[in-house]
Amino acid sequence: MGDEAAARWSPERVLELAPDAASAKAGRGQAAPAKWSDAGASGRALWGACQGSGKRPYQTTVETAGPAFRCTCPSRKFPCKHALGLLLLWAEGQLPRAEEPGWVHQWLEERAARAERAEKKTDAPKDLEAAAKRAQERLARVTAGAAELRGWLADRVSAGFATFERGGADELYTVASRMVDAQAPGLANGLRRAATLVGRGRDWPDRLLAELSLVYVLADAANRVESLPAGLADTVRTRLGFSVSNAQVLESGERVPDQWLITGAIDEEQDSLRSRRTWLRGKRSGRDALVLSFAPPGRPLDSSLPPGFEVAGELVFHPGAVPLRAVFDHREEPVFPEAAPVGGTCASALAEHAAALAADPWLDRWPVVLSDLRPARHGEGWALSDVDGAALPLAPTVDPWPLLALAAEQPVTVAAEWTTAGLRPLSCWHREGMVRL
Amino acid sequence: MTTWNDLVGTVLLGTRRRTLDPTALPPGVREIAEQHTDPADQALVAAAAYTGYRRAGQQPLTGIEPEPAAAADDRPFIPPVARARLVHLLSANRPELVEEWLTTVAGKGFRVPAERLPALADAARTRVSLRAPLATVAGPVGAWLGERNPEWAFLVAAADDTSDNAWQFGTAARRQAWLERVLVADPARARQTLAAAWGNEPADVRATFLALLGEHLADEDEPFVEAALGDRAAGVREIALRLIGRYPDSASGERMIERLRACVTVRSRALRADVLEFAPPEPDDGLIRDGIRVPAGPGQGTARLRAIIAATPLRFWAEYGSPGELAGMLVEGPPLNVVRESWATAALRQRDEQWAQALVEAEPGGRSTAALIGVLSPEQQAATVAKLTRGLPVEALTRLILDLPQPWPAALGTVLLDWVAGQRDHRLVAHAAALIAKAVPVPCLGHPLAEIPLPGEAAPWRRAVAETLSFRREMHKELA
Repeated sequence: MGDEAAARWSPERVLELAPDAASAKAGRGQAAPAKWSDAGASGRALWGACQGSGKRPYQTTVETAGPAFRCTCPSRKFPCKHALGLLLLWAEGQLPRAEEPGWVHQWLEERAARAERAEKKTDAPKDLEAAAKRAQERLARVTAGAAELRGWLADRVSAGFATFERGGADELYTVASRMVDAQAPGLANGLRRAATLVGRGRDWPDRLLAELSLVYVLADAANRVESLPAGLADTVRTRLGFSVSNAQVLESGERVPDQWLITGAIDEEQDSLRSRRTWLRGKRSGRDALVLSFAPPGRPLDSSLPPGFEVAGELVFHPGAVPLRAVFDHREEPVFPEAAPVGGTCASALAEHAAALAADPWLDRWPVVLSDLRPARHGEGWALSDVDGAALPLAPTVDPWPLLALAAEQPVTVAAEWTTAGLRPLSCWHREGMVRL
Repeated sequence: MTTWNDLVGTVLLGTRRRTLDPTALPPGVREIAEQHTDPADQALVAAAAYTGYRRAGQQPLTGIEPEPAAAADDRPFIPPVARARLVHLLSANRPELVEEWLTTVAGKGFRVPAERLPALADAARTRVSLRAPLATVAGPVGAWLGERNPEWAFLVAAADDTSDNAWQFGTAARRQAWLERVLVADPARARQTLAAAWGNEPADVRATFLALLGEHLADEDEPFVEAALGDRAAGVREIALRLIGRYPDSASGERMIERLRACVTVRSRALRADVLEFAPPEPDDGLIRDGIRVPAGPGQGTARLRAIIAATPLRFWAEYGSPGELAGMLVEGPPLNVVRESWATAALRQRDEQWAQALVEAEPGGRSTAALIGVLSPEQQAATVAKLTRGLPVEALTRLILDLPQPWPAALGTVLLDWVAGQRDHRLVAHAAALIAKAVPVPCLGHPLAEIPLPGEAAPWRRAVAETLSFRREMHKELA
């Protein structure tokens, strides 16, 4: 029984799966035992029947390992509110242990069979020669695109940025889509970021020049990527948008076994793709790592790395001058640690950031963990001040109040992303525990 | 030397118009820039190098003072299950349950996780009734936030001490909170301070303060309330009239008895019921002094009579008969409903149970029935409503239920839930049932209505009632 309670998820983890806030709310509404009949849980699955607006009750099944969901309701949300409600009931210990009924058992077996077939498929031998040829062709296209971009940027600099204020943003977007055609999404992203800066705020020429100069250097590096040192060459390829498959990383990436603290996670949605950045820090190695997960809108993001937990396992890093992105080769179940992490000071965090920038000048966010922080006013906004009286500003787009409320009584430890706009806090440890912001 | 700003200036203008001298760049930047020959390329590469240096060279802010910490708060946090409930409440948009939850948490002396306070404070910005319980629950951290976010200033009031600063310099809300606190902590000082400031306060503030005093009314307040009857603001007089009813032997009450005596006679008729005869009261300058101003014009005699009956101590009627007998008597002069409504007003002001009971029985569908039931003892409330649920048509009954003064005693809650359980599906019943499920007091939450599983075909409103009841029961259990 003890094991089972430990394997159960927290309600927060369940709600992470909700594709949107409305689903989370609806899911909570379904988490009442009175709504369900013949509900139960086995070691691997949950099931139940729920009376909806239809004539027949909906049959809902959840396999917890995946997690995978099935429900006979017509909802197009995934997972639907019934699956969420069932998971919540389970999380609260309100589902009785029972034998899997036939329909549940059958579904689980079918799923297992499908997974096996899929595995066989991916094992099929690949045409390595054709793949290498495709990579060569792409590099040629990217290099051509990068050369075009450099020429265009040089033209703009000799004509003057002042002309950008009229229609400059549109022009940047047009060039960005040409870079997409040239299969260099990294360059396109940089141009789109630059386009959002034009005419915004008094110092927009400053920020525009900073952004475009880095895009220029990246385009320049694309030309001579073969002659760069190995780490930097990998960084340039990644920044240009060449992806490295997980299989490649697992085969040749640097392996770091450690006890990893999940310091924070942040979700973003761009171009109808949801992504979650999860930051980790190795307890022994002190290494920072970034695990990315992606999902189309309406689908849940990977929730198996809850912030604040610790997970033992081996991370394999993507190659690069400042290796941050990583994938887990194998890992154990996350556990909640006894103690809060020990963070650094503002000065030490900035020093580490400087060292990382020296190796990767395109670095746009850097993970920091800072201890003993107290809130301080900084102009119109807020900053966090450490024991040395040094402070870092909060990014103006951040809602500061939950963090300020936590830090009002006693100094706190904060995990954040340090960006050019300021700190973006992700997690806060205070006297009573850890809070995801 | 070419600084970053010079470089930005050059690029803004264009390297065609302003030349960039690479030799003037700082050494680290110059080295990189000179790998290129075209001035535009040089400018871009120099800018990239500069950007790297500027980002890497960023220093922490210094010389800014951290804010002073909030006062310590030794109260325990709400238990973990209640934390999950709070998240649910905040997202479920059921403000009336948030209020109940906060009031319970405040009463039990818990505090809530600090990171939830901003969301609660935002909810209380639009729902004023959440403010007082939230200010208590939020405690010193709430006050800290309120001092720093003007939109949440209402959080500051409760945490303040009882020093006179808040009274002399505070906002209306803070002064009100001060008075409320000191009326309990040091009643004599509160009354003294209030009396001293009274004449200089604007009308709406006087009305608020008088109503506040009314919640802590003592014998010694009689002269103060008497004086307020002659206030220049109608709002204040209204409250004073309500409060003076609580002093059955007041001087103004005596004067009212004298006035009314001149208007009332009982006419006995052979073999038929007695008739209560009213003569219109004479205009009288003293009335204004006693808080009654009737505008001149047609109907002013009736209006004056109505005001006098409502302001006269009910003991006046003892010589004419029992409340039950009087409530059933025929009336001559003004319409019967005028007399009954005036009696009802008097019964409410004086909180007279006997009269309230008699008036409800005389006219169960009357306008004041719900308010009058509120005057009765808990057992009588339950018994009276139980009787009405059998007698009144559903339209009148559901309207009455919506108006019943809250909080309800447990016995009344049970009567109402029993009624809901026995009803068929009906739009008005569903409406009343939703209110009943939210309003019944905690001891009623274990009612069979919440316990017995509903059949699959039960109407949605029944499910909603069962859900609200069990939700509330869980909510209170978590905080026990």
